[in-house]
Amino acid sequence: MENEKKDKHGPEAADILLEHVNFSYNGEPVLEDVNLSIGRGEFIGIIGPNGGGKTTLLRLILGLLTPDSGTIRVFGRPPASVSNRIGYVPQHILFDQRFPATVFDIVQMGQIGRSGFGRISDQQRQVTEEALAAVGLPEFRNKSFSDLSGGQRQRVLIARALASDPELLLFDEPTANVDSSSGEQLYQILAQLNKRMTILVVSHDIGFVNHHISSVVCVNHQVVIHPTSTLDGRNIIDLYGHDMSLIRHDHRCSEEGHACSSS
Amino acid sequence: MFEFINDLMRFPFLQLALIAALLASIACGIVGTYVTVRRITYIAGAIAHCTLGGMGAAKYLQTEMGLSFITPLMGAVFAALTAALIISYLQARSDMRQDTILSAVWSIGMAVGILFISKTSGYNEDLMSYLFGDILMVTPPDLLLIGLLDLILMVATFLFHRQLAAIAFDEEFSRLAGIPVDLYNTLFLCTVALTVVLLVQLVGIILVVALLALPAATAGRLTNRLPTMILMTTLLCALSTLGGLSLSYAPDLPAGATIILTAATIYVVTDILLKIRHKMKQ
Repeated sequence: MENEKKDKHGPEAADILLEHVNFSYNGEPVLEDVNLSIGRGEFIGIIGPNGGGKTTLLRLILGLLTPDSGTIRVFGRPPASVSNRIGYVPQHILFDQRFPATVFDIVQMGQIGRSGFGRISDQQRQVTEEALAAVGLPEFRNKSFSDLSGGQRQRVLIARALASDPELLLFDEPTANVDSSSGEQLYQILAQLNKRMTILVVSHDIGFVNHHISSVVCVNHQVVIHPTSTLDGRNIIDLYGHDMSLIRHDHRCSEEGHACSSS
Repeated sequence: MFEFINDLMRFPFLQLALIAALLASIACGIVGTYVTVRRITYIAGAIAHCTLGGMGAAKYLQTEMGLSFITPLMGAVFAALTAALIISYLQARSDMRQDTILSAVWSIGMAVGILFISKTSGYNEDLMSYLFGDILMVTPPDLLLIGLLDLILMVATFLFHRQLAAIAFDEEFSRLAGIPVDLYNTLFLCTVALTVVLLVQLVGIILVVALLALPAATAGRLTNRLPTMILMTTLLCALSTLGGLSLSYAPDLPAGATIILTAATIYVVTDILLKIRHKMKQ
């Protein structure tokens, strides 16, 4: 039933499809009439001011929230039914820094939905090691999560998501960002992963995202998507007239002047 | 201490107390660790205080109403499980603040207990043993129950330790991965409730939280792995209960109190030693 519905609504290739989605929190509208289609293999940056609905959009796609009205389809199905095919990377600052676990322990948690009970199997050990290698942290496997830097913790959480063998990676980048060199390293890892999966990054730092993304989604109560071609770095600098890292989100996504889309 | 070891050979009640202390350490090691890393020792506290309601009501029914088949232990189990289910339900389904839920459950349970106990003859000694426990009063059936609980806990931990760790670290991620998180949490709280009931018999309502929190806190300073932490907590718990028991014996002190103070001393000494080692490294 759900599958038939999907075919009428959008391209087969769309991993994520939102149609006329409205969501309000305590009577306060957060997202209004959101229409969005994200194809397979895209690398999307989600930007927008704080309180504009970025996290809400992410949680709707994950199926953790249900819209007041409208349809959301992920892989053509209701999000909650496919959440095990989505690799979710939450902000690392939300975690208990003192939790007693090694990097390996945390990465293998990614397979928790598929694993049986009792001890970890050899095959699961293998998957965990591969996920650690993909984020460049194999030598950290026996380190405490608490002994890592912010950037390393982020990579551990990405590896945990990878261990679940996702087709779609949703990455909520922390507001308190890591230093720029490890940030760049992080996006190189994501760009590598993008060869085999669709990636959405909720970004609070447009400068980094811009090097690798195929499209930017601006979220400020309404949602506008900007295709790749209009968004190479030079265009953005031309459009804004100054360096991107200085650009404020509220300017970029204000309701009246939407500079990106007007280009 | 020598008197304790001497009398240990002679008095079966001391041997029972010793075995009880060792058996309880296993439950304490497992549940104490999870409760500590999940930062919910106060849920254990609320459940512990609720058992007073159950024990008081059971004692009242037993002695005043002539329902001789009802024991305070049954009352405690009933009250603890009820408290666990109420807390679990309210946390998942209501928008009440967690500390409000716990404070309410905590004090209502005690109020019910005090009402029943005040209407039951033998008010004082009962109340004292509920509040502070009496490890020297354990009976062979008590040991059997503690052993049974240990067995259940060990099997459950072996089977589900990865799920439990994943949920403790990141509930939302586990939910997305398809783990029935609410079911696990409810069953986990019921396990906490049963453990609390048995520990209440040994160290009493007031001291249960300390026995769940202190050995696990010490172990948490010494290891960064959950399975190791469980083993260490078990050992530290055994050390605390045996140490406290033997220290209390000759001067005739309440064992519950000396057990807790032993556990606290171990924590403080460990902390100081770790700080010294840290300083020397610099």
